[in-house]
Amino acid sequence: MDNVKLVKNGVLRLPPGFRFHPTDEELVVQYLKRKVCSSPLPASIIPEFDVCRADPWDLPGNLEKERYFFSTREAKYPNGNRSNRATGSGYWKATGIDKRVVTSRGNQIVGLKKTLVFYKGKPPHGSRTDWIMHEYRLSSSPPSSMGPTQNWVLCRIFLKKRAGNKNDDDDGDSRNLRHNNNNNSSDQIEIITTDQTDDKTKPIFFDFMRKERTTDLNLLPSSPSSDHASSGVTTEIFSSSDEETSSCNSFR
Amino acid sequence: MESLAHIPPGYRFHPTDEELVDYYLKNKVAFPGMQVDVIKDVDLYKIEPWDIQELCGRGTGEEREWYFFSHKDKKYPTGTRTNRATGSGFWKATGRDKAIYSKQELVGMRKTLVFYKGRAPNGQKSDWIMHEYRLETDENGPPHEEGWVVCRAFKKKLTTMNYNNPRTMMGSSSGQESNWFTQQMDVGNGNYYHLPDLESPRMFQGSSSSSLSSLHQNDQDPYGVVLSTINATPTTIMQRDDGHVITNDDDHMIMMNTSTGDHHQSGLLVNDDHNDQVMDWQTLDKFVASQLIMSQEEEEVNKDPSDNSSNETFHHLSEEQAATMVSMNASSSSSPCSFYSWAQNTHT
Repeated sequence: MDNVKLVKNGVLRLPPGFRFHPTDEELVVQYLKRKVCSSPLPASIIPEFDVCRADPWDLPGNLEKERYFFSTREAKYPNGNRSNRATGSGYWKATGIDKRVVTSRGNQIVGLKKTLVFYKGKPPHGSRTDWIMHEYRLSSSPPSSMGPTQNWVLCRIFLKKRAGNKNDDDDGDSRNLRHNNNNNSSDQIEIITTDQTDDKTKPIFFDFMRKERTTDLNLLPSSPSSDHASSGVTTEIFSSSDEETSSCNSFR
Repeated sequence: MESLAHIPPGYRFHPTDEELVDYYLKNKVAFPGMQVDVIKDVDLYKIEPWDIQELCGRGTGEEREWYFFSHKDKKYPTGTRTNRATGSGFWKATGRDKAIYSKQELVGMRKTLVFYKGRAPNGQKSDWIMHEYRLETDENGPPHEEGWVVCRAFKKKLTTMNYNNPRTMMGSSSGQESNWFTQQMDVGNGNYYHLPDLESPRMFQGSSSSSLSSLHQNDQDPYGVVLSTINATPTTIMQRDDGHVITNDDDHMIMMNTSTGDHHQSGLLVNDDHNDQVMDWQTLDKFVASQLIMSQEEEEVNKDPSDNSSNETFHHLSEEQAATMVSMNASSSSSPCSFYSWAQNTHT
């Protein structure tokens, strides 16, 4: 009775702070099962929309939050189980193994959950994006006595945000590391400059000292020569005097 | 009035800070007696954090946050302590209070507390976190120590990633310190490179020692030169026959001797100065200049012999030596008389 009222009103009257954050069990048992059986839904929060008719970012609703849609599963071929679903700019590709949706009490399997990732481009050369879709379907088909039934599936589409945050952090760290490397390089350059300066200073000083030594060597041979000359002059003077005396005597 | 029975499946109570303060807390303060099924009243400081789960839960096992109202009472008339003790621990405030806005207007403040097991100030930190919201319209107003507050309690599990970030920052800080230390080492190396300046005097002294050694070696050479000079003298005198020619040569020799003597004296003076003031650079400059002058004179002397024949060269060298003797005679008082007498004899 209450459920009917909520549906009829079309607008949920809930206290502030309540938001639609269902569990897998609630999605399958409370919403998908009733949808397949054409029973009234607890809340008209999930619209009907073919998720392959538009790209993830063009689906109705708030991009920042998880969005839920009832969609039909159309088989391309009578006997095929292909999971590729093409859209305008890309395709949904299944990843991993289908998980079982189990009730929290009796450990009873009530449905299956398939995880898909959206790729841009055309298969199999598409580029992976962060758009994720969880596709829920019932584990058993309803009795045929219920009449013609469609293959309803419940889809939850959202943007993978945690991984994005991690990437941002990693990029930041990489930048920091690069910054440190640059600092180290600068320090190394400074070291090299210092070495060059020292190398230039030493040779100049050393060469100057060598020049001094050369000059000293030039001086040393000259002094002995002077002394030698003085000695020679003294000796020769005496010889000359003797000869002159001899000449005078011979003349007379 | 508000009953949780009407909440459809899949909906959960995940209010924002604004909703908690501007709707629930404001109504609680305005209508204290009104009971809200979604948030109950709890005496926070008489129960433990793990008891909140039973008191405030809705019965489903998917809840990770619990909300409750609490009334704060002032413990001491003049106290402003933020520590709140329970049976097995205490709640300790951490971080800075955050302002809560609703449509650009301040409506409340949020205080973050952590639960510690044990007694203050020592205690073991736990994973229980609590956000305490209070009404506030003036961010810089005096703190309210009593009144209703709404609280959200949860366990710190989803914030594990945030805890890793500070470690990364620590790593970066360590890196910077390493760079600073490396720079200090560079400065130290720079000081090391200045040491060669201190060694300059030693190198200069080494040069002096080398000079002394060279001087010692050269002292032996003069003896050989003297002997050769003595042997050559008689031959030179016997070859002189023409008196006129001898006279002209004597004049030339005298001039050469005079200039040579002056330079020798200059050399000696410079040498003495060099020995007395080894560190004086000006003396070294003078010494270098004198060396340059002597080098030029040697070149002039060498040019003349090349123009004469081999015999004339021999005579030239001998005449130089004879001229030296004449110069020494001139310096004494008896020299002029001897020279004059010899000249007269030649004319006669």
